[in-house]
Amino acid sequence: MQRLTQFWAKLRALAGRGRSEQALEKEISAHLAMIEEEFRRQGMGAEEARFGARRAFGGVEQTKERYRDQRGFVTLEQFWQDVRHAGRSLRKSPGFAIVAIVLLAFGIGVNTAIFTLVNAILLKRLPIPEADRVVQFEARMKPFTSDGFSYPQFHELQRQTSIFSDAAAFSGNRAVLDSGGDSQQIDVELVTGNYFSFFHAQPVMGRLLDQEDDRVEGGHPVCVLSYQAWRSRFGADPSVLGRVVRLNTFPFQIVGIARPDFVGAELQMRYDVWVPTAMALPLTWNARSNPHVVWLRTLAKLRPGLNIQEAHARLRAASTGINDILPKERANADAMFDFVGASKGFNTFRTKLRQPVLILMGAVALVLLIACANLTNLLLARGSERSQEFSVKLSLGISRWRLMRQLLLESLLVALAGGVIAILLARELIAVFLRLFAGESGQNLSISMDLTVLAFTFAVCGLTTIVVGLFPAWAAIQTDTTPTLKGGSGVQKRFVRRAMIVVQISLAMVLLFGASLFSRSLRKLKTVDLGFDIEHVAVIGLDFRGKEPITGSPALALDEALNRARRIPGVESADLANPSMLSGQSMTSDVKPRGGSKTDMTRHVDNVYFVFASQQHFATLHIPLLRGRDFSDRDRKGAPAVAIINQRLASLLWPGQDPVGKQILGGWNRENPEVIGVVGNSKYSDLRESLKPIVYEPLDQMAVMGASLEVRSRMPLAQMKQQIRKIVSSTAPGFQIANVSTMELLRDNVIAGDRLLTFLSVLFGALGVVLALVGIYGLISYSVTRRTREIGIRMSVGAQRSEVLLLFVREVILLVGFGVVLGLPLALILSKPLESFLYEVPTADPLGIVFTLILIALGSLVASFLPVRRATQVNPVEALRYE
Amino acid sequence: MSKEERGRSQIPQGTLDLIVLRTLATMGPLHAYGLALRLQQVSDDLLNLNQGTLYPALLRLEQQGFIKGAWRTTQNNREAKFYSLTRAGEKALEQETGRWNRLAGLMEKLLGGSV
Repeated sequence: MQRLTQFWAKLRALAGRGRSEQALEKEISAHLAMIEEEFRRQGMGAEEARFGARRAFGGVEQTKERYRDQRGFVTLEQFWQDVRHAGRSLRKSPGFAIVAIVLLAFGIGVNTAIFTLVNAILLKRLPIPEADRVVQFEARMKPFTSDGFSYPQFHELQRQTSIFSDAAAFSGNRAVLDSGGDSQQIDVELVTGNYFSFFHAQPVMGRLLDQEDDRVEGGHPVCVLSYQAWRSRFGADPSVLGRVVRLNTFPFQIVGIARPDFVGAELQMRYDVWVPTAMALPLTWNARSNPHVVWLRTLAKLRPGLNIQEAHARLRAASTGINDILPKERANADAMFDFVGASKGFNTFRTKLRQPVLILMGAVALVLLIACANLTNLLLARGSERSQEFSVKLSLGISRWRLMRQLLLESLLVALAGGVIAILLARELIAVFLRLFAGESGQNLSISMDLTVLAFTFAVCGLTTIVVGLFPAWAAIQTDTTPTLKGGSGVQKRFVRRAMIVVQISLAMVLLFGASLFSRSLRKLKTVDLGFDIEHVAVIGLDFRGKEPITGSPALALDEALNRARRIPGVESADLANPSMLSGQSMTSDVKPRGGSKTDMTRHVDNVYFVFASQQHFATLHIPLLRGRDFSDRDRKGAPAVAIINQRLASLLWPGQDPVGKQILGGWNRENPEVIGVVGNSKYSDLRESLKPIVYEPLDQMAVMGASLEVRSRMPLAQMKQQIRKIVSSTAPGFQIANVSTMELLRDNVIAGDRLLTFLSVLFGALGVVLALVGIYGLISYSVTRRTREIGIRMSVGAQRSEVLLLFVREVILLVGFGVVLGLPLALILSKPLESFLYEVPTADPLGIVFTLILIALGSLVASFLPVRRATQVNPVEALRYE
Repeated sequence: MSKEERGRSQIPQGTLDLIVLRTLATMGPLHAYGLALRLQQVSDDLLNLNQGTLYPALLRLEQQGFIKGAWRTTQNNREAKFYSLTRAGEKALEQETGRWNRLAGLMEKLLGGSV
């Protein structure tokens, strides 16, 4: 109790230190004056009385000091003094402070940015207490696993209440929002009625969706706005509740606003509007009840206390039952249903991005290490400059521990200042990342910093302080107060300084080598022969708004739109295709020859890819027609079924024979089409894949819900879009323009991940190299300055400039040599895990090694050129007069 | 600094606080100089201490809430800080005196008996 009172008194004293200092001064001087008075009364002279008073009192300053010690917390007060002292010391050398802060701002900045990704993608958990029990459904089909489900499938899964206590489904879509006046593209998520209650979500205003809103298909035109959309698109107007807005021209009533912190199933995504799945038709052009369309993704909560093995077993057992109610003709009809843990939310791209993100984290760690090594050298150099200051301090009685603490505090201040700038820098970098990764399609990624990221940044600042500051601070307190004894630590310091340079060079080599691998891989991907020509081809998606596949007049309308597009001036050729190459969509089936010899009949090709195309498809994409003919006006609905196949499929089905005139069995046409032509080989949906066996069937003979208009022309995309929009609205009003792109953009989208890795690895490589070169520059520059006198002496006794040059060039070569000897094996070891991301580039790419070596050598040459030249220009007379 | 303290102060640790409390209890409010004079007087100059030594003790007692200081004018029209005992101080004095007496009695017995 008493101790507590004393503690509070001390705390109060800490706050009012200035005031109590004055009071103490006043009290003591009054005291002295009273003794003095007394002495004078006893008959002493003025001078004598004054000294007598001081003698009787004892040491005035000592008393004050002891009083101060008693008054407050000694260490805390000293700590504040030291912090202020560190700040002053940095202000006195702004050059050093700025360089050091910038170094760390970059080093910590890239770490903060990449950690933000790690956090958002790999670490964050669903913000609900039962996150551990959350799982996502999967359908295991023969060759692959799918996380997509049709509504009837989901409905059956949801009924497995002996396994799952709750199951919710959702599907993201883009839609046009018309809130009276202007229309804008927004991101809509279709959700089942229990979606919000699944995440314990609460509204800010109005209400969220519930089971009742999702009952009758087409019967619940209501929506909930995200808080962000409510603010940005409706100006946070509270009167929006009850208002009707149009989504894809269909009216929806706003019933509530979600809370700003609501995220939903995918922690990395952000949606503007939530709509019940019952309203699928106007937003996806597909009826919810359609068992063929797998469009929903799911999360479920395991029943509490249920053993995981048991749950798996029960769900597998139920799979057959679920399958029984589904149509048999689909490939996924014999899927096994299963689930995987999803405590971190729905796995949209966690698996896909895990390794790239971790690789990037490793790369930025190297960048930070280089920055740290660099800063260590800066601190050592600064320490040498301040050795006089240190020895004065030490001889005045400062404890070595306190001096060390002051120096570490300086490092901490630098690290914290760097950390603050780093956070701003990281925000910019994340914005760049999102643009690169998300491209045109995924504007709704939500990756932002949170408290975890801030904690990480500050932890890095603290760690950096220790890594960077400890040795220089230790070296500083080795300063001897007697200037004669300077030997020992000097040698150590020199060694550490050089070691730091070697470390920087070798780490920079690792980064540079990695960047060269990614760049070469991307280059190869961009120049890979696809089998078709992607330059100057616009791809415009046309979606049918009706409920049934296109027949009759809509098909004619589509044809008419195509004909009009071909007549646009400057258009070389145009076609319709579904799916468009590289669009990411694919259709596959297995195919056999029909009829022919016995050996022909045994042949069978799995995973044959399909394209439904109009005439001129091959002309537009510059795919050579090798045999037979292109589709023509004769190949309509009702006419005999025909197909064109590529060479690869021809050689698999009928090796050594002419396939024209033969029939194929299987595929998407109900009839067995006759092969009318053979075209050149090509890839289909990815750049890395081998040449695929492909069947082309006439669009007119197929049941589709839309197609992409592919137009070869040199017209700018925006202008083309306008022209097509005009044509579609006048000739095919039943269609809407879905996506406007070019083949090249589609290609870029396919390799978005490679582009991102390349961009970031080049960025980090460049950063690493620049930092390392700045380090070399700093060391040589410092060394030249220190040895100016020595150079002067050497030159005055007859050394040539070339010999002086050699002196420093040798040092550079030695440092770089050691760096390379260390860095090259390290680069080769660390590049191993990159293998799966590289396209036709070995991880021990010799060209990359050569490139890295040349760049490091040239860079070091440039970095040391200026200081070395300064050394050769030393004037011996001035150099000797200098000290 | 600590070496200095050990050399000059003949008073056992903690005893000075008790003496200050006792003095304030009998004399009423005093400033530091008055307190020093009084200590010299009652100890017949046996207790020779630097007057400055009182300051940390006064502050400590003030922090513990046993005494409180207030600025007043002396007879000679000078501003000085006068310290007086608080209720908590009176209680502490009582307790500490008791403790001291017991300890002194014990010491006497032990030292006397060991001859």
